[in-house]
Amino acid sequence: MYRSKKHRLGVAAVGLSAVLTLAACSSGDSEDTAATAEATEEVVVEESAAEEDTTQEEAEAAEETCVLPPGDIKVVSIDSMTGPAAFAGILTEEGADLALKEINASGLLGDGVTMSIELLDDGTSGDEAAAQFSKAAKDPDVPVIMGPILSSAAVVTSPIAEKEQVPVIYTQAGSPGVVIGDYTFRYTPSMDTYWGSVGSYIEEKGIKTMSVLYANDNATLINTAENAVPALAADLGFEILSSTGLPSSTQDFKAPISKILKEDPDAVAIMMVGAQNATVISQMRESGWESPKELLGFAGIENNLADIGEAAKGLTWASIFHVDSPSESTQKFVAAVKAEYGVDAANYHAERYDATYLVANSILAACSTDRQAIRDAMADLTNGSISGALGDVSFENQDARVSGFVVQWDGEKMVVLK
Amino acid sequence: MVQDLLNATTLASIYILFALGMSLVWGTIGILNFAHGSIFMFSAFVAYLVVQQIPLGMPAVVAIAMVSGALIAVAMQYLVFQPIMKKAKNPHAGELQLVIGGIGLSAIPISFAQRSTLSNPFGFSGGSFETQVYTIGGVIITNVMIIILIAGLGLGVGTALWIRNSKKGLALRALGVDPEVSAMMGIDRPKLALATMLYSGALAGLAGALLTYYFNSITSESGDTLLLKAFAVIILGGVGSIFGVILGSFILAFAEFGVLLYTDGSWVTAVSFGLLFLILIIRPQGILGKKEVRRT
Repeated sequence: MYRSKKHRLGVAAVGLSAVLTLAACSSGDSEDTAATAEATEEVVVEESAAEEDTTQEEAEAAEETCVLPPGDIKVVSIDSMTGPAAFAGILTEEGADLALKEINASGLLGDGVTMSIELLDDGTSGDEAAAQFSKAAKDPDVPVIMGPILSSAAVVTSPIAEKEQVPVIYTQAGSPGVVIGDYTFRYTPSMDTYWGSVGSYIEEKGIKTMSVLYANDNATLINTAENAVPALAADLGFEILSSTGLPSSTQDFKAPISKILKEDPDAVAIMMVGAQNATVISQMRESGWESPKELLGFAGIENNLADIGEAAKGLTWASIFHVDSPSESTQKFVAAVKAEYGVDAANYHAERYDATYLVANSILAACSTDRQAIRDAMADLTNGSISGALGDVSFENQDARVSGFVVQWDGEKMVVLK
Repeated sequence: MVQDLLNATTLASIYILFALGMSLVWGTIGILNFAHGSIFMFSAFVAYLVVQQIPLGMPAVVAIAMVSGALIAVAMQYLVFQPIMKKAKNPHAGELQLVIGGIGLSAIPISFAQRSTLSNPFGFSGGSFETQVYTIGGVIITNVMIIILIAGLGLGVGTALWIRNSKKGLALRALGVDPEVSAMMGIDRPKLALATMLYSGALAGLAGALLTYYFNSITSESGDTLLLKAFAVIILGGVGSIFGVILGSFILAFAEFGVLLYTDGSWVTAVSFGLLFLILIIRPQGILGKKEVRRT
C-alpha cells in the first residue's frame, strides 16, 4: 500500500505521542492507556501538522487511521541471553518485553494486530549472532530485526542487513562500523559521542594530566580511549601522559598501576571489561591512589562496583541514563520497570524499550510490514528528536545522540552530579 | 623496584596456585583437565553463595571453597574421567576423550554461575574479611598478598618435595611414566587417581577463594582466562615437574610484568606466548621436563 511521506509523518507523530502516553500509563490498566493514547493522538497530530507546515488536506490525511491486517507481526531479536554479555542481554529483553506488553495492551497497531518478538540467543558469540542474523535476514516474513548487542557481531551483521535490505535497529553495539547505511539504525549513543560530557567535571577539578587504562580488545572502549579522550584533551587542554591498552584477559593490574603511579597524573581514566574494573580500582586504592587524585570511568561501569563499594567512591563518568533523571518520560519508564520487575531500571532496559517502540511506530507509520516501507518510516521518525525512556534522543545519520549526565559512585550507588 | 619485584612475585604465586593442581593431574595420572578453570570458579562461587547468607571470615570461606573444589573434582573423576578411561580403546584415544570430556564438563558450572549471577562479577564483599594495607620501607603490601605469597610458594615447594621424596609421590611419578608397569608393581591407579583429583580440586578451590579476595571479584569466565596461562606455565616449566610449575610461573609473571611496565600493554600476550613457542621449539619437554622415551 502506497502512502505519501507526509501521511507517514503524520501517523508517525501519532505513534510517537503514543510512546509518551503509553509510558505514562504503563503501570495502569490497558483501557486507560488506550483512551489516553487516543486523546493524545488528536493533540499531537495537530501540533505535528503545524510543525511540518502541512496543509489542511495533508493534516486530514494524516488523521486517517492506518488499518493493518489482523494478526501477529513477528520481529526477530538476536541477543546475548547466555554467556559473558548476558547481564546486558537479559535486561535488554526485559525492556523489550515491557514495551511489547504496553504496545499490545493499548492496541497501538490496531484492532487484532499484535507484535511479538522471536528471541534468538547468540550465547555472546559473534559468529552465532551473525549466523542467526543471516538466516533471519533471508526470511522474507521477517519485517525488521533487532540486532545483536555485541559490537563484534554487529559489524558483521550490518553489511548483511544492507545487502538483504532489512531494517535493523541496534542497542549497545557501540563501535564504529555498525550504522553504515540506509538499513542500519542504533538507539544507544556510541560512548565516544557523550564521554566528553565529563569535561565539565574535569575542568572543575582542575585536572591537567591524565593516564588512560583501557581494554584493547573491545571496540567500544578502544574507540573511546583512542578518540574521545584525546579529543577532549585537545578541547580542554589537559595532557594524556600514557594510554595503556590491555587484553580483557588481564587479571592483575599491579604493573600498569606501578607505571601510572610513576607518571603521577591528576586523574586516571579506567575503561576495562567487567570484573577488571573492580580489580583495577581496588588495586589503585591499595596502592595509595586517594583524593584529590581522580578516577574516571565509563557508562556501564556501575555494574561492576558492588563488590568494592567504598573503594570506588568518587569514581566519576558520563552516563546516558539515570533513574533520577529529571525527564518526565524517563520517570514514567522507571516507575513502569519498578512495577513490572521490582528493580531499578537500567540503561539496557531503557534503550531496548525505546527501540521496541520505534519499531512498532515505524510499522504503524509505514502501515505495512514491508521492509522498505518500515525502513523509510524509521528513517523519517529518526529524522528528529524522540522522547522516551532515555529522555530526549536525537539522531545523526540514524545513530542516536544524547547529551549525557555526569554521575559519580557514592560508595553504594551512582548519583547524578550534573 | 622492590615494589615491582614484590608485585611480580605475587603474580607468580597466583599462577602457581592455579597451575599446581592442574600440572599434578596432567603429569601423573595423565588427565589434561580442561575443567580445572571451572572448578576454580565454581568453588569460589559456592563460597560466594554462602557468604551472601552468612558473613564469614576468610578461613571459613577458604575452607568452603577447598571442600567444594575437592568434591567437584572427585565427582568428575568418579563419574566422567574414570568411565572414559575404562571404555577407551587405547590410552591415546582415552586421553583425547578426556580432553573433550573436560571441555564439556567445564561448560556446566560456568553456565550455572552465568545464569545465577547474570554474568555479573561476584566476590566476598558480604563476608567479614577486610583487606589491610601495610607500608614497610615505602613498599606497599596487603594481607591478601602475604597469604597468596605464603600459600603459592609454600604449597608449590611443599608439593614438589612431597612428590620427590615420599612413597606416594614415587607411586604418582611411576604412574606418570608408565601406568601399565606401575599397575603391575602394585600401584592402585584408580585410588591414587581419585586422591590426586581430590588434592587438585582442593587446590583449585584454594586458588579460587584467594584470587577472589585478591582481585576483589571474579566472573564466571575467570577460570578460563587463567587456564590459558596455566598451560603456558606448565609447558614452560615442563609437564610432570612441580618445580617446573614454579619456574614457569615466575618466568611468565616476570615477562608479563616487564612488558606491562615498559610498553603500552599491547605486547603482553605476544611476548608471553612468544616465550612459550620459543621453549616448544628449543626444548619441547619444557625447562625442567624430562624427554619422553617411547618404547616400541
